[in-house]
Amino acid sequence: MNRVAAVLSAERIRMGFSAVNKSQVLDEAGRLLASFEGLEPGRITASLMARERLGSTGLGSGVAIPHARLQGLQHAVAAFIRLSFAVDFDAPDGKPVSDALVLLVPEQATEEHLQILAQAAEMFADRRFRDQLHKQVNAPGVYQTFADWPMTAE
Amino acid sequence: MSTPLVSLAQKAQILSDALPFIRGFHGKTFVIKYGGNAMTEPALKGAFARDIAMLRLVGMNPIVVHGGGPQINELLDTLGVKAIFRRGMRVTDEKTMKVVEMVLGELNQEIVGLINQNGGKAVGLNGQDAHFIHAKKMVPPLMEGETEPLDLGLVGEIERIDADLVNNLSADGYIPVIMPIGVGPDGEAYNINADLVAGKLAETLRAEKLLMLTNATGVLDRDGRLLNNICAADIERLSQDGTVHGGMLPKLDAALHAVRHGVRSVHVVDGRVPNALLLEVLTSEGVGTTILPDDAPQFLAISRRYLGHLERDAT
Repeated sequence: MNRVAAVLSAERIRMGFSAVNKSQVLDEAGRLLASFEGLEPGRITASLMARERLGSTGLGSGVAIPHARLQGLQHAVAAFIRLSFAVDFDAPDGKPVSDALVLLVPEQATEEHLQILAQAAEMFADRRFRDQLHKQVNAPGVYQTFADWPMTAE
Repeated sequence: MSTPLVSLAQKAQILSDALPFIRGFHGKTFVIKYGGNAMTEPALKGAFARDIAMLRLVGMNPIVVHGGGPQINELLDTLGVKAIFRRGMRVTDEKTMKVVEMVLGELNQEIVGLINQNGGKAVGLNGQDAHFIHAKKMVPPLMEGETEPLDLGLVGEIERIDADLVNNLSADGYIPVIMPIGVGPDGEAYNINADLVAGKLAETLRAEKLLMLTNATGVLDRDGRLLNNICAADIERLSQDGTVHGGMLPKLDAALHAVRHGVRSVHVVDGRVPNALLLEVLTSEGVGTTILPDDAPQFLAISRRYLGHLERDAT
């Protein structure tokens, strides 16, 4: 199994969330992850915001990977949010974002944690992966798409 | 009645999905280089004109620059004048220049007419109008064995573009449709490569996007696979190692210069796909290659710094 699927779970996939801006997306990410990790939602959101201020985590083509280091977290954990309507994320191509993979890593981040991010970025850079992901309408389908990467050549 | 491919509810959903894109690009300037099949096939021509009118009517500022190479060759052929190309540029004597101006003028009015039929307010422009494209004779650099530079006749290069005319028209809701003719200090008209005019105009206007319609899937790698996203430095590499060649080279030169001088992104769009412009601007996936500046947010570089102590561990 790839690094991203290993830290994601269908229970942490939220489909059809309605947000009007980036900050509401990060708020929801805080709530979603806090319920599984026993962390304070506000603290998760604030950490995600802090990373966002260094430069958008929007990658272009409607996808983003908000992420943060978090004190008290023992292991990396990911969630996924599909928005009902794309929101502005200040992405390099200027296009709004509809799919966000959220990643939290322990305060003492390691090279392994950076590798999870790198792999997520590589997945999202793959047009076939994005197309497959966009077709998914429920959490198990989204999880399976992540788990099936790398896709076999056509 | 046949069953529609898309239900009304789905149509409404599709329109609703476009809102974030319309909002994000509202009031933004797009320079569109129009050429290739999109300019010769009737169905694609109509779709292009509709797309341009639509982008304008939902609040964006499209500006069209067009070429006319194949049509110029056709008329030269009919007139029995041989088209001569040196280093990819048309050697333009006075007779050829007359044909170039004639053909471009006719194409320009045709494009303006099509956009207007679709509810846009297009205005045809030539670099002579208000002298907005300042040009000079192009003098190619000396090649090995040459004692004097190649004389391309009335082929020009751009000195500068005055943005006022285009900006004013755009601000008043008009759609400028520009043919690539520039004027020298002596009042002489010059034939300029349309890719270069589109690139320079996008720079001068600090456009949100420069969209170049081509007859190719986009920029391809060595194995012929489409590159969806590349940066300016990638273009340099692809040109130097010969991966990109032929007609794509001048386009990518213009693209490279544009993203390094204030244009947020350049898109090499497959103009053979119907409604390629709408797909590129109003959906998350375009049809072709997106070129971003070298200093576009470097996701992993920032994250590496953010995860700070990794670098300290490494040293």
